[in-house]
Amino acid sequence: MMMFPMNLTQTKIYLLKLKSRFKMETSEYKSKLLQRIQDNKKSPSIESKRLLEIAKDENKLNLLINILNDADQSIDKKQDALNVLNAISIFSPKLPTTKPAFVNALRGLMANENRNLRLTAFSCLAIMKDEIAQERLKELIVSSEDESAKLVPTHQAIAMLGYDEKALDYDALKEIAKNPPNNQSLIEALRHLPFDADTFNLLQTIMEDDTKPIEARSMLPEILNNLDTEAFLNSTNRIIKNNGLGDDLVPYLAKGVVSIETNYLSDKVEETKSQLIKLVNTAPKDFKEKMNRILFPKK
Amino acid sequence: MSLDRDKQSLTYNSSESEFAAHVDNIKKSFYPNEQSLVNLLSECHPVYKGKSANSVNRMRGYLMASFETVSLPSIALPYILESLTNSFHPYTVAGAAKAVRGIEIPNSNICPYLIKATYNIWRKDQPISFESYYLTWPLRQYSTAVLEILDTLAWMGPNAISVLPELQRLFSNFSHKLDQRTKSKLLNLIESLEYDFPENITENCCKPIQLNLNDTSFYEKKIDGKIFLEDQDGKKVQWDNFFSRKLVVVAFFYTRCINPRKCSLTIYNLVKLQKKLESTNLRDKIKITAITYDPNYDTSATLKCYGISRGFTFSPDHKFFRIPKDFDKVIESFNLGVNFNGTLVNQHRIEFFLIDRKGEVKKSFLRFQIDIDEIITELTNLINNYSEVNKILSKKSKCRTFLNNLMSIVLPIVIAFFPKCPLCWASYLSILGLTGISSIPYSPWLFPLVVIILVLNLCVLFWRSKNGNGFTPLALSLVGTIFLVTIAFSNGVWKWGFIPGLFLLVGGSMLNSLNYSTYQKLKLYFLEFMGDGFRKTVLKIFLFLRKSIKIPTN
Repeated sequence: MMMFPMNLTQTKIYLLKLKSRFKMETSEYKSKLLQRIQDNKKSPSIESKRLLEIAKDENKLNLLINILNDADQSIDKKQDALNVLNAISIFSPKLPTTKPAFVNALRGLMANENRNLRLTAFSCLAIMKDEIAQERLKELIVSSEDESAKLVPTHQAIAMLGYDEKALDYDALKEIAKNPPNNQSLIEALRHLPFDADTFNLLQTIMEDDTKPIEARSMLPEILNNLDTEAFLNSTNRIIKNNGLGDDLVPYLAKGVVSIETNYLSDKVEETKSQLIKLVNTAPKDFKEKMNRILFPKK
Repeated sequence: MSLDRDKQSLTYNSSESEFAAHVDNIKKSFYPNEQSLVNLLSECHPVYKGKSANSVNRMRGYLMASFETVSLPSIALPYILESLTNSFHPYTVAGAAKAVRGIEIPNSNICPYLIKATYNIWRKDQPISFESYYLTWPLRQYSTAVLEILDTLAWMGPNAISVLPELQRLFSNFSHKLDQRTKSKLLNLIESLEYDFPENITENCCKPIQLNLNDTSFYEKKIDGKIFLEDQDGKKVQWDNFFSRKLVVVAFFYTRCINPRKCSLTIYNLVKLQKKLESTNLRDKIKITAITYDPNYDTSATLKCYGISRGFTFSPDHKFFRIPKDFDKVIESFNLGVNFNGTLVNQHRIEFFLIDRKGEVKKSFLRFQIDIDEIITELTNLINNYSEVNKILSKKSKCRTFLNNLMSIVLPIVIAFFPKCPLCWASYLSILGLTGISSIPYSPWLFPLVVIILVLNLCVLFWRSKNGNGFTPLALSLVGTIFLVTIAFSNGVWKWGFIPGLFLLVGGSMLNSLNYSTYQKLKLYFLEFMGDGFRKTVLKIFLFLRKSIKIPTN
């Protein structure tokens, strides 16, 4: 097993090998899945039959929608009805005809006291890019309310808004990345922030800050490398110098350095690479294994 | 006046609830001010600034729906029909459909727009209510955009007979995709049109009334010709340099627009126009361009990709532009129907303009996509008008240009070489002494004469600067004049000033006599030199001086 790619050719050969192995695994998985679908077609389960019947029947769909609107129905029953509607929404030929009624019911559930029901409703509406839900979610991500008191936690609200690129308020996301209410919100904000000159400094600061969660920081080396290679190399050298092996980001930094494709900074790249190799050579075995896993992920 | 008043009452600070209250107040008043509502339909109204696209759609939908109560004036009709044609937003479409019911006399020409809106919206319909702006969900009773359209067609009565085949097609092909309520309403409408109305159609009924779709909101303010545009290759060009010499068809768009009937179709139409012009004699007489509303997102590379993917052929006369700075000036000059939430476009209309060789807007096509044949006819008419006018003016203007150019060069040379002081006089005499006319004496009265001629020259330059090459030639001549006059007062002490004074005076006049495009090219070269070459030269001199001057150290 290779410890660290000494040059780009070696890395490419290794990645090609991995790719071919992964291709074989994927095709096996595909054939198994197709087999399962064919088996199911021959003898669908009772549950599947029931779902297919509902999906084709407008009256039954209306009944389920009425359960969602009915204030006297129990939460469990509502949750069941919503789950069924949610499940058949991708293949039902009749659900689109009742879409206004379904959307009306889902909007009604946005303020439901039950968290699960509420989140499922928000999530269904977000996938439909429903504007009323989007406006509510936008209000929630900028709200100073406590996370536990919010109708939808900030990180989930960002993820739901992410279904529609136009719905995201980038200024609000930047603000969340600067002052996140929790780590999950930071990670989600970083996933949806645009990576450009405006956000570069913010992303660089987050990457260098070892108090931030590694899930957030590990996203950034390759992004920053693409935005400004020289600044990324400077950041990498600073982190190696200040934190050394104590920083979990080092393998991700190495991954970022390996993926650099520019020629004009080759001296600086080589210098950083040699720094990293020196550091890794002195590292304990488990660190080396971890680094291998990150550089050459197994599928 | 009323637009100004509205802009004062509802500003960009006004909230959605204030907007809704304003609309509700007008709706409830005994004599509703419908003009005030029409003004709010304008896309560039400040109340929409800083609001999200969803909010703007909802605000406009609510506003349009209010015309059902207050009656729809004909001036508002283009806005309503545009929404029916181009909008995919159920609330806006439902509002527009309701607004049609505010027309005094039903017009059969509106029906095709309603059918178009049905096909736009039926797959993404939503529950809708206009009872109030803010609603509590779930609604107990609600309508949908398609139901509102069908209600409007029913309201049209016999006027909707022209779209009966379309309604029948809709029912036969898509009824299985409509809900029970919509299906039964559609069926009722078809039945009533089939059985009831043919008997009621009289001679006076159902004659289509011509719709006036001219958007009168357009006005033009002279644009600052010094604005820099950046084309799809990243090359910079000044506004006046591109928008001159030929007729220009310009459209506005942005690549992030998700409405398939707006920006994308606008570019496809420019491509169609480009191809059609290829086969005509207008090919080399027309420039075609599109300018983005979103210069921050639409970089040169983005514009190029967008154009190429839609088949646009780029050439020196066919370009896409972004205006990184001063786009506000363009918005103001063209009164563009666009509004922003930060840098994101939150709403816009379709906008095409025909600009003549002087950079003036001659015709605008707003809100609806262009008809290629119509635009070619317009272009042909404009070119024919020009050639006729040009024939008459060409002889006169050639003479005038020649005289102007001659005067602007000859006059400063005469002034420059005119003896202005005893010293000049002595110099001339020493030269002329060779020819034997050295006996002419210096007359002090010649000095005021020279000053008068100098002032006259400056006045001519000032007068020509407005329509000519700007104030730079005037400034150069002014400095030259100051030099020459100073020599006269200095009794020969500052006689060295004669040469620069002469150069500046003649140079200024020569620049003024250049034609506009040559002058602009010269100016660009100079600016480039100043921007890059000049900086490098100064840096080299500075480094050379730093090397050669050794600073003593302690």
